[in-house]
Amino acid sequence: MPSAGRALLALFVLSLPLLAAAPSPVDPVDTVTSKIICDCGCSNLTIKECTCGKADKVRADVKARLDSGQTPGQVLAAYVDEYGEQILAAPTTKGFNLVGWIAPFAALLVAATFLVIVLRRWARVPWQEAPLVPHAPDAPAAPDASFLRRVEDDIQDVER
Amino acid sequence: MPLFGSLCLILALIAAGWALVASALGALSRSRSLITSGERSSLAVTALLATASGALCFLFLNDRFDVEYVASYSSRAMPIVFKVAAFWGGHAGSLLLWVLVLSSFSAIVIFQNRHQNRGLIPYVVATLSGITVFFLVLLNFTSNPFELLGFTPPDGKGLNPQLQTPLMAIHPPCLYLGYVGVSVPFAFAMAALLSGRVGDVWIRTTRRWTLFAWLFLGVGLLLGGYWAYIELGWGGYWAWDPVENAALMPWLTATAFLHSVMIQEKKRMLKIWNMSLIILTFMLSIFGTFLTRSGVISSVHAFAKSGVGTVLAIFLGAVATFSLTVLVWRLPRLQSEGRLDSFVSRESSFLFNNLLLVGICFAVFWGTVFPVISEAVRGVKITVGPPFFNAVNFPLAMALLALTGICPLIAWRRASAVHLLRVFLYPAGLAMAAFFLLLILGVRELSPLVAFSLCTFVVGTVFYEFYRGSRARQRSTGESFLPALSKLIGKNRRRYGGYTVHVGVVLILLGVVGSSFFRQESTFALRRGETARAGAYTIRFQDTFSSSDAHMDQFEAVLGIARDGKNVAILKPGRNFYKSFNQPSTEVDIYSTLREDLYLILIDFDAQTGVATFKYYVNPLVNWIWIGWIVLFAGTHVAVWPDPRERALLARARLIEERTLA
Repeated sequence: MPSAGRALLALFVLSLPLLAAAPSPVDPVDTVTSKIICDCGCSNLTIKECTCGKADKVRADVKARLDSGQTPGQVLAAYVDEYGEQILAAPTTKGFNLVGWIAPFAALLVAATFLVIVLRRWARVPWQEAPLVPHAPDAPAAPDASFLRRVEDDIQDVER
Repeated sequence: MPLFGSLCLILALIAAGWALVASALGALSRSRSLITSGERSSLAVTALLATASGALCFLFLNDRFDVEYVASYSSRAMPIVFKVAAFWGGHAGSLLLWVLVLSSFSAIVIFQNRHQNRGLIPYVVATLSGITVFFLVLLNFTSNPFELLGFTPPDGKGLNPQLQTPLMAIHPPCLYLGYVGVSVPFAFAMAALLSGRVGDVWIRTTRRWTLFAWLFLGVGLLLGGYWAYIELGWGGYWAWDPVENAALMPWLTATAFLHSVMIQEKKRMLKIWNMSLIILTFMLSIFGTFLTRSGVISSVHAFAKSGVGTVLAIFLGAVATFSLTVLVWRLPRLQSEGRLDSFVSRESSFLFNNLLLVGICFAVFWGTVFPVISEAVRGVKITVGPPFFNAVNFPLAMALLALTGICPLIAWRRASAVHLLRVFLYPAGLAMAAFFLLLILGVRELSPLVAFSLCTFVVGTVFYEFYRGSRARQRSTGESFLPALSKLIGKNRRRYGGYTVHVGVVLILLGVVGSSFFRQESTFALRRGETARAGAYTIRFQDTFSSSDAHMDQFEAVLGIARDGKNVAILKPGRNFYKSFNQPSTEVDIYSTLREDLYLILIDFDAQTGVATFKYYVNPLVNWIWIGWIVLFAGTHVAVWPDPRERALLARARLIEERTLA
């Protein structure tokens, strides 16, 4: 590896700790409203993003609850108590809902394992150039064969 | 006229039924007259549906409100262009458009293949006619757009004002071209299975159809997203709505199909997989229609006709049963003829690309249907909204992006470690440099850092590929760089068109990541003459403007936008009130640059106090999404442009197939 490449790699590794710097603070109202779905029917948006009048009211309500000393978790729990689990924009990570979260990755993992096994099996058998046209060795040269040769030549021509 | 339209629909159903029967019998008995009769009936269906569509247009243009469909989606005050677009504004009309597009495609297929693929065509016509019959049954018996009200209201309800934009006029037809376009490769796949001609002729013949369908599905998605961005006023373009998902899913599997067919063409492997992918893509395109119309899953786009849902579910089941049965029946003929040379090869990387594309498709599908599953299992209603889809799909999309960079670098058949190291060095170095630079510039979140670095990596590999190829040509032919580059692309349009599409996808992701992770937003209230800060911009509320006509009341706020002390734009966000709909609508205004969009919404204006409340979003890089689509569009055109090499390869494939069958 050239020295420039090595220097770049070193810089890259050395710069990683910068990532640990504290992320910018998030407004607790946003924390709550980005987890609640707006059921106004105009779009599939969270309360944080939706522009309808109903979302305005919910945002104000969330702010009022937070101002009165409730934690974001308590506000969310209160909403779930009142409106049911469907008020949450994404399934919780408990119980059967976990299936919802895990299934896509589990399916991918199973498929990937299967793929690796199949590929390894395919790669183990040495590959031989299969004849393009199956034919008996001493079959008379059919007009097709000469056409085929011409096509092959054409392909090589255009590839050149 | 309504009666005439209904008559055309009935006749079209009869003709399509005959096309199905005649083509199927003709294919089985090899009767030339039956085959011809099937083809002609299929052409008659196209003519009848074109006439019916003409009749519906006529009814719209002449304000025939005695027809229920016209009364529901048109009104006297609507401009002519939207009276025509109202054709597909509702369920019945959009079904008519769907089946019109399908039968037009059938006609084109019949015309294109009048002298070729004669062994496949009867089966193709039968399959396409089967699909047509199904949609015509729906149209005739559940959703006839020519149904009469029994009285004539003085005016119609009109099209929802938010849909009265040119974008919305063309968004549904584009999507339908995509959805319905998928039927053609599907019909050829079925024909290949039924006729036993399972080589790569059907794939090569339908390559451009597949690309066409894929492109229009994409353009439909783009237009929908762009419309949401400029019309809906929430500053975004994608909300993982079930119907958006429904269009995304076949697009993903079609992307996988476009890649995996290359392995079948090159190595005569993956025949079963390719068949499965195109069947899946077709079923997902029908599933999209089902979602929109069944009301099973609530959505912005829902037409909610519950009776139609059951019929569509039965059709989906029938398609699945039929195509899988045929596939299983032909399994012995679909065995791979080739083998892989090495585990590390482009073939393998294509398969992992397929895995990820189908994986993302599954994640989207799963998220879309999980509320239904959860309710069935636990009896509790839940919501699977944007946070779920973003969280699940982000890592998958990043893996796919990495693979987009890696794939082209790995040689076909076998890649050696030395070769890999050599070709990876520069793009990987570039990606690391980008990572480091962004870190210095203050980006501290890992997700966007990874995403931007991978974007750099992919663009690096693509440019490196173009450069390497042109240099090699230069060395062998002595041409100078630019002619060498243009000849290189001209000689292998498919490959370099594909790479250009990759650059388009990277630009789209760049825009998506930029606008999702670095968006700023806030609300502010101003009186006339006051200013506020929005990111790097100073906004001055200058004036208001209002007008009123029979159609709507319009109100606009006029705002001067300055950046770094310089006036850069005048924005006029507003609110319209549509009288016939008794509905207010937000009119967004955007100051758009390559760096970012300043997106302004007027939330409220209190006429008594003179205080206007605004919301702003600063959406970085969002324009690159639209630019990315243009690049993708251009790349696809390079790839579909007629290519003598592809033609020669198709001729060879046909010959091989004839010999194999003989």
